Amino acid sequence: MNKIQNTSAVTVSESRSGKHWNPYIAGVALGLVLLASFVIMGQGLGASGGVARVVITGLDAVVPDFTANNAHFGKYVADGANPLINFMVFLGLGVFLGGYLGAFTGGRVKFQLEKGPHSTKRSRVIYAVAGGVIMGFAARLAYGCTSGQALTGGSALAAGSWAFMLAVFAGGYAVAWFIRRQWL
Amino acid sequence: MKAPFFINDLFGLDTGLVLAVLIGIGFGFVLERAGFGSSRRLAAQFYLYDMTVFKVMFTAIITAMIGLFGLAKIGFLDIEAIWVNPTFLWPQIVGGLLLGIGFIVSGYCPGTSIVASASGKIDGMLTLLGVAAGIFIFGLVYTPGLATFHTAGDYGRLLLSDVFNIDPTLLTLILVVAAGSAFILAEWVERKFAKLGDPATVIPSNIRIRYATSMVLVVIAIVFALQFSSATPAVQAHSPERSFSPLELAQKIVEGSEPLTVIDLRSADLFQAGSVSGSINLPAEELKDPDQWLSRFPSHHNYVLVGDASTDFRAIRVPASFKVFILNGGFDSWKSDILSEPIQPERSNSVSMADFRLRQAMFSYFTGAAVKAPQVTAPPPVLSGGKKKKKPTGGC
Repeated sequence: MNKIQNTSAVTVSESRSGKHWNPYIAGVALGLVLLASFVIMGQGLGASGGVARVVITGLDAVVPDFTANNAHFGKYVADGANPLINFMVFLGLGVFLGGYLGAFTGGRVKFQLEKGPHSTKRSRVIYAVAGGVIMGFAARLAYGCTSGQALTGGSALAAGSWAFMLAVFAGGYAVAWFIRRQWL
Repeated sequence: MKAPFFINDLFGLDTGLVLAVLIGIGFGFVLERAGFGSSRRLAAQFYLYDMTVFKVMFTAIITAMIGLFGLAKIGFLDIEAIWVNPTFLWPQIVGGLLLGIGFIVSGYCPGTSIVASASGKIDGMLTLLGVAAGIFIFGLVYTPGLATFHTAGDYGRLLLSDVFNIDPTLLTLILVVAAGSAFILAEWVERKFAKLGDPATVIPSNIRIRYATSMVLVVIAIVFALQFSSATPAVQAHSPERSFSPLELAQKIVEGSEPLTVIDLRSADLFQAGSVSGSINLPAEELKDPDQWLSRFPSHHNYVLVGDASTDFRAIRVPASFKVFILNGGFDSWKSDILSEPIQPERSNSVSMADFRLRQAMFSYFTGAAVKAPQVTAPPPVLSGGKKKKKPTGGC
């Protein structure tokens, strides 16, 4: 145990602005949060599901007829249901708060556009939005994202989640080489 | 007190939502501390010079997996009450590929884009907006075609341990060993590709200590896994839910293409008075424990349970690897649907005639009675096996 704690002190990045944890320590901590979610709520973690419910709530406020009649969104607002009253929405709110807490205590809260050394601001903006759009669509298609499928389903041994996880890495590695100028 | 607490009504929805925020805070905080608020750190996974994403993810998966199946093993947690992602194989594979592409393009996944937004990263906020837009687009183009693909490869609640037909505890052990080896490989890959990284973002670290950490982790996990696999294996069990109609069962028996065992749960007296051909008689008490199934029956058979109104199928616990069906309506409906001569439909079309002939053939097969030729010119269907086949014992 001492050995492991020492490691986190050694593996420090950006030491001038706060401590990042050793990946294995962070992994165990993340696993324990996930386990707590299973034990307390009976379900795992998720991120895109909460975002989807916020989007649907917004749509319901602006274009209620479209939302109610939409084949995919309709079921979330059927019978006057409030899509926001859901575990995933409150979890997502917590993720934002927890992320802020971590960044604040680590001295890492800063308005900035993070990009690769050879990328331009313009291309970074386009890639960030485009990647997000692809992921929003993909997460709906696959019933979850890295949190809800890979992490949660992976640890519960769900067969489809493992297929999803392998596909995520396959998709990422397949494209990484072609857009290396963004990141390297 | 038995987990999961929310499912077992230890608290209500309001408390649940407050707890959800707290769990989320823990989730977001750990992601940030792992360095996942940074797109360059996350993207580095795909250029191999920093495998933090892989290491954190798999350590987390294995930690939660050991906890989940360990707590189930000691009886603290009801694993059947845990929501497990249902498998829709094809949309999950295609969605996974797309999500991987979006991941390397944006530098985030949806969850980490929330963390990045919280720490002021403008690219994180843009990605989060993109995710919202992508969700909207999905709903916009949710055509019947897409809806069909969205449910393609529906396997329901399917665990990897069922796919490979091994005990979940054993699979956990195998995955722990696999992850341990993968971590060592990941450390080696990182050093190999270190020159790709920007010196400013690469984590300074002591290789030997990182090796030691992963080795210690592997050893702890192996000991842990052995600890709870040495006792009787944890059996995931459920009550039988799927069912056969008498006609479906009759066809299965006649076809004989899959090994099929029919178990009659009624009293010995009723069983003697009449039963499904070839069935065996067992009191329901002997099937309540999943271990009894495992020790008694091969898992690759299909099982059909025959009961009557007094049979409590919910009390029967079947191991997850077993395919067990309930005969709809029990022996009574078998008697009325199969063992009574079918009546020819008055206004017959081709569908009702085919159904009638099928029923007639089944009636003849299971009772040995000759059937009146239907009053149509078409000959009755010839069944493989036919009624000449040696009749199974068990009495009709």
